[in-house]
Amino acid sequence: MSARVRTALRAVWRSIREWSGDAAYETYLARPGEGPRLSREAFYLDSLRRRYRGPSRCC
Amino acid sequence: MNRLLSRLAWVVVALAGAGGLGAIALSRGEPVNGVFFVVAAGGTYLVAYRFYSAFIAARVLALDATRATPAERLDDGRDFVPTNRWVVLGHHFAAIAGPGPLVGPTLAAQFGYLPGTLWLVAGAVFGGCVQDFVILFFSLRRDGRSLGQIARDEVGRRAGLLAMVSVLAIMVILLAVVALVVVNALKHSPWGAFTLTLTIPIALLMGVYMRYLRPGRVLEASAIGLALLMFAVVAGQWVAQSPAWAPVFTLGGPALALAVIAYGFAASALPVWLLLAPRDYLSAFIKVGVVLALAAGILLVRPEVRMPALTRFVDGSGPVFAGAIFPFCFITIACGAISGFHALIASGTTPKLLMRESDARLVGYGSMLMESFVGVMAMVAACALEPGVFFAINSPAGIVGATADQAAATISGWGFPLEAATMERLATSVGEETLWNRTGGAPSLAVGMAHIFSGTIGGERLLGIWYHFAIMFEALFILTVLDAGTRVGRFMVQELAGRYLPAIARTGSWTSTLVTSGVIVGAWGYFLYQGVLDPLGGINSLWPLFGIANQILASVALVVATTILIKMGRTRYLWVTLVPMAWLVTVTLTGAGQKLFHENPRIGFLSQARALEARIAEGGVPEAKLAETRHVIFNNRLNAGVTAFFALLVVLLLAEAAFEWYRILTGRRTATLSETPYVRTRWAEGES
Repeated sequence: MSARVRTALRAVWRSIREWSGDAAYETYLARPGEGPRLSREAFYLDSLRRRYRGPSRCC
Repeated sequence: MNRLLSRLAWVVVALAGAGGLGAIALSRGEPVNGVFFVVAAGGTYLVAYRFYSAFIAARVLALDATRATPAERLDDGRDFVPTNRWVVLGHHFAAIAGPGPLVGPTLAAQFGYLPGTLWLVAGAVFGGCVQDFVILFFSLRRDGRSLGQIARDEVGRRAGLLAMVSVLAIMVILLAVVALVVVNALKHSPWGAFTLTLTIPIALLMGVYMRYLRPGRVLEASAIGLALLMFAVVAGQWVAQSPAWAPVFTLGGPALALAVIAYGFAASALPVWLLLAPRDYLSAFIKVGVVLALAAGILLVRPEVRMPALTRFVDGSGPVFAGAIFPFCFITIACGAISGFHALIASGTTPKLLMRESDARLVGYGSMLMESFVGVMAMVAACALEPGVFFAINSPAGIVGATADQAAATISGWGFPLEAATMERLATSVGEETLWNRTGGAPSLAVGMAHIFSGTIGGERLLGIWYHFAIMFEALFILTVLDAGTRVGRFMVQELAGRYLPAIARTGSWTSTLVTSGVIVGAWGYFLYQGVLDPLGGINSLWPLFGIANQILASVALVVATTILIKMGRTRYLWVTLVPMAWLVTVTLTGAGQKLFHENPRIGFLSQARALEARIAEGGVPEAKLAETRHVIFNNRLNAGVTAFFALLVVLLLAEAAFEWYRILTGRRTATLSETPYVRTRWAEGES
């Protein structure tokens, strides 16, 4: 497999992970932040609580 | 040279789109290939995106790529997260695409394929995409504020309150009507009911996996869930063929309605990680996968569209729902052309994710074009059925007759030849007891999709599997809308009632959660139950009510957008939002007026109530049916009240906004925008 194909596949995989929310915790940890960081479990629960407070799915 | 080639390419795309539109518009008396629909829509969308959205971006809104977005300025890695624009496009599309663009076009196919297809394409290009784009942009310039907050800040406090009340009212009708679609799809279908029942333990399992075993591992859990879902579709066939289990899952409308109401209550009250979130993940994957598969299927199978361009029902006598082509075609196809609900999403999570202001064009305008395309594909799938079969599935028994022979004779009499044996064979081949009177749009769409999918993989042998896969797909994301909508409705009730009863506002309190969940579920549950008992099939009264409500919310969004454009001094370009707004207000007020006062009892709620009262007075209603008939009379009056309320909302908001426009345009009031101040993006400076 050529390097270009590998790079493209990696980019697609990264996009799928970002789109689905699978990579959300890593994105959160990569941000410069103040104070203690949330654990993976706490972050997951917090993100769900935020997401479903407002209209998130349409008709 | 490149410029010349680019221009030539756009001329080819434009000609292809125009040729496709010409082919479907001018064809009469013989089937049209579904590929023409894809070419017509695709060509038009590409030209609209390239030129019209670019015009709006550059001239009307003047997007500024150097201006930092809320995601950049307020980046906290949680609410505000700068995200790649293609990922945001996927997020936004998954959020806005629900059952509406599938069910609406299917129902509107009773007018023929042409009116609905033209409205899907033109409505999206000039209405829906514009609304989504401008609201996303305005929210982006206001730290991602919601439509209600923007209405309050830019139009006035009363406008903000009106927007919030209309959202809550619309939510109730929306949830009732989508729940009715599920109930009608699963009625007397042990295969479908079992498959959908299994999705609940599958979601619970995924919930526990993502909460305790592998926190936040969405892809792993979704892969497990999808595999189990496929097993559930296949296992449904075993249940349907089992003499012991089939009766357990063979449920009538009222029983299914009660089950869905109980489910909605549980989903609203249970922790979000347990049921709602995992179901949402599953539904998003299935939704995107099926939309792509349907597009590929249409191109591979190239189905012939057998429905005529226009049917005799353009006069308003249609069996699927009553009402003439104007305004009901434009109300029935809500989400595939323009949906007010999108304005809530465009002023919700999406503006908090965009990295650049210029990305609003792709995400706002582009994702609505994709949704419109889903609507066109649904139209092709529904119209690929023999018209007689389409009307047999979508017409209530009260219109076509209670027995198979009566119904076949009625439908053949309309000019759509049909034999009772054809329906029997079709039902057997998809593994159903019957396909007569399966109103709501979902079953006929599932039959159409199953034909397209089985034409690609498996042939007739797998028709039953594909049909139930399609039913599972539709029901799965309808239930996701039901879960998420009930929960949001509960929060809104808590917020509104909490102003007077502070104890209700405590979202962490179990008492408050249970009471407010009961209020919101009770409200949509009531409309659902009346739809199930409605002798005309429920969809006839509830779907237009939903369409009117949704388009009224779109009018609210466009009124707000027009106000902001006036304040921005872009009066020269006001037509961009003013024309679709004027069209929607005309359509919704005409629709509301007809649903209230039309003399045909199938159209006007009040005339139906009067007709039933007269029948009782004449002694034409048997003693055993008296209570039920009185109930139907009450429901008609209730629906009339709800319709009048929606119409009043839009008139009040329009009056409030028109007064504000007058004061600004005559210089009686200074135009003050509530935009956040300009901050230069660091990405424009090449810092990252």
